[in-house]
Order: sequence, then C-alpha cells, then structure tokens
Amino acid sequence: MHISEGVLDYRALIAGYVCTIGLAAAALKKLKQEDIPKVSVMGACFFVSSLIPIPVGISSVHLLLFGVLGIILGFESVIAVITGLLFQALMFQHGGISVLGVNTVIMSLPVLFVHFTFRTFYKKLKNNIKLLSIISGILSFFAVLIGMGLAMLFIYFTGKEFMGFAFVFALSHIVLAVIEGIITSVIIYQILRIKPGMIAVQVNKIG
Amino acid sequence: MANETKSILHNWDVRWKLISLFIFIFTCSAVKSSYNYFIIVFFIISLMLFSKIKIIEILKSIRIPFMFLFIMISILILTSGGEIIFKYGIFTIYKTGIDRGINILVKSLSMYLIIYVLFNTSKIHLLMKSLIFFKIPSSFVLIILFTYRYIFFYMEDIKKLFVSAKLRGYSMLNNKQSRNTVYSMLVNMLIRSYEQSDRIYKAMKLRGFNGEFKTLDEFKSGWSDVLKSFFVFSICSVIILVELL
Repeated sequence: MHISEGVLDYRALIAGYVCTIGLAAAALKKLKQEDIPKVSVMGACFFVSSLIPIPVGISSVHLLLFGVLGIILGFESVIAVITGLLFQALMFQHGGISVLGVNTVIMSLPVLFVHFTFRTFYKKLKNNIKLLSIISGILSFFAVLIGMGLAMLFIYFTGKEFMGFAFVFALSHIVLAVIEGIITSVIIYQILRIKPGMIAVQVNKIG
Repeated sequence: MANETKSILHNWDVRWKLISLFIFIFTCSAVKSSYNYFIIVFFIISLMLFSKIKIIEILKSIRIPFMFLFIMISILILTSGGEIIFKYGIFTIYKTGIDRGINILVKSLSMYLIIYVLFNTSKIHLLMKSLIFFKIPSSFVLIILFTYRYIFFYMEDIKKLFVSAKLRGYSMLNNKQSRNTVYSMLVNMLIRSYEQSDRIYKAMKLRGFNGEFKTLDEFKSGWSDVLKSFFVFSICSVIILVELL
C-alpha cells in the first residue's frame, strides 16, 4: 500500500510531512530509552515478516501486518512504520523518500486505530483469547480499508485522472484486507496463548 | 552502502550533500513543464557519471521500480479520461494519461536515482551523524541504525527457517499445512525478536548506552563542498524559473 514517487504534487507531499512530523514527535515523546532496542528489533522483524509470501489461491501475498504492529508496539509503532517505509524505499524501491510523509500517514493512522480500539476491548475481555483474536482480525480488516481510503483521498486530491488507477488499487486491497484479517487473528491467538505479556505490556501503558 | 570508490560525490561533505540533494528532490516533485524534464535528466546523468558507480549496477537497481511504474502508467493511460488519441474496442488511450505518465516516469526515476547515488556515495554512520546535525532526535536516529542492522539479521534468520521447513517437507502450496507452517514461522519470529530486544537492551546498558548516538568519524567541510551545493541550488533555481515562466 504505497504511493510511488512522482504521483503526488508538492502540496500533498508537504501536508504528508507535516502530519508525519506531528505523529513522530508524539511517538518520540512517549518513547523511553529502554524502548529503543524494542522498537528497532520489532520494527526490523515486522519488515522482514512482511516479505514472507503467504500462499493464497494460485498466487501468494505479502502482508502489511497493520493489526499485529499496532497491538504489539502501541503508539511507538509510528516510528517503526517510518523506519520500515524508509528501508523499503531504499532497499526495494517501494514508495520513496519524497512520499515518505504521505505513506507514513496512510500506514500510521490505521495502525493507531487498531492499537486504541484493541486496547479498549482487551481491558474488558482479558481472558477470552478466542474473542480477542477475532476482534483483532476484524480491526485489521478495517485498518487496511482505512489505509486504502486515505491513499485514495491523497490520489483524488492530486488529480481526477488517477481515479481509474485508484479504483484498481482499491479492488486489490479489499482482497488483501480479508486475508490480513484472517492472518492477524491467527497470529494474535497464538501470541495470546504462548506469550500474553507481549500484548499486555502495550495495553497497560498509560496514555 | 557506500563503496570504496573515490569520486567528487564521495568526497562531498555528507551534510551539504544531504541538504542539496533533498532540496533537488522536492524541486523535482513540483515539476510540470516538459522543458524541465531535459534539465532533470541531464542532472541525473551527470550525477551518475560523477559518482563513478557502475552503470550496470544502477540499471539493475531500477528494474523493480520501473516494473511498478510500468504497471501504474499503463493503467493510467487506459483510464485517465480526457482527449482520446486511439480507440480499439474497449481499449482507449488518452493523451492526459500519456502526459501524466511521462511526468511520473521522469520524476519517479530521478528521485529514486538521486537517493541511490546519495546512499552509495555516503557512509551510513556519517549520514546518521548528519541527521543529528540537522536536529533529528538521537533516539530516532538510533532506531534507524538498529533497524538497518537487524533487518539483515532477520533476513538471514527467515532464510534458515525456510530451509529447515523445506527439509521437513514444506512447499509453497495453497493448503492448510503450508499456511500453518508460515503462521508458525511468523509467530515464532515475533516472539523471539520480542525476547531478544530485552536482552539487547540489558547488554547495551552494561556497555554504557545512554541513548546518545556516538561515532569517531568527523565531518570535513571545505569550499569545494559549498561550491558543489551551490551548483545544485542553481539548477533548482533554473527549474523553478522555468516552471514560473
């Protein structure tokens, strides 16, 4: 879910960077010294995990892991998103440096949506692992749709000639949203079963 | 990232190089005039030649972004609407799509090549130090540096996991067993990395980590660096002037 270099005009790029600076400043304010290795190591792990091909039909898909990222890293996931996008732009040429701000907004807001919503549910349903994992899957599904909506919004304001492209982009992401929801649900179920502390630490954080 | 070749781009002070090339990237993003395409292409070719990076390496690196761009521009040409220049059955080629496609192609490939040259002619720790110089928080710079290191670590790790899974009969098939194997790998890697991050912090703390970024390399800035940046700023000014005229 990236917007490529050269698509958006400079006003959208500036707006993206302004929002990203705000989000990053808020996340860095919350970040403690002991969280630096955690955000880096987990960020790298998410980056590599998103490269794993998941067999679907006759093809395979690469995951976005919005849901898992938001649930495990919490608000600090914004920093992991920025670094992840930066390295995707540098190493695999997905996205780019000038669109880093816009792409961060497109990916961070859905991740934060999952984080805050899941936290509310977790406090109420702490012991119901099955229900929590289903909720994480549903939230993940909506997170992909939110990201897709934000990307389409940026494309729409850049030029109406891109709407045909945006429509094809949206169709492919609806399929991805369903797959992402199912896989997030499975991953969160396993984590809640094997190492629930990984999720509880973020949920119990104040703020 | 940076290779051992010495060129005028390798010798350019990283702070000046970073700020000059970023200003050029953002100037490129505002380009609409087709005259500017020639200026941009001329600048990029000069940059690649001066960097002494092998052209074959550069061409190899643009294969993936070019493939993505090709798909995107093809859809754009067929769906953009506006003045029709060719129609056959359901296929219609629009002039607006071609114009926007060329614009995207020039801007996208130039921005990518600038970043490629920047990272292949600069040392990563000096780039990080220059980010600190530009008042980027130290904790953020450290996260970028650590993430860079651990990406390669986990890439090796995942390769090993796939080899061991294949030895146990895993294949990329769309069946329940294959999917379960991939899910287990993902969960396994996430839990292990979470546990590892705790151990890394303790080890770093024992070695005196205080959240600050430190490096022994120093910046060397001279008049030649200012001149190189002045040249880039002049080209940016010409591009802006052409846009305004």
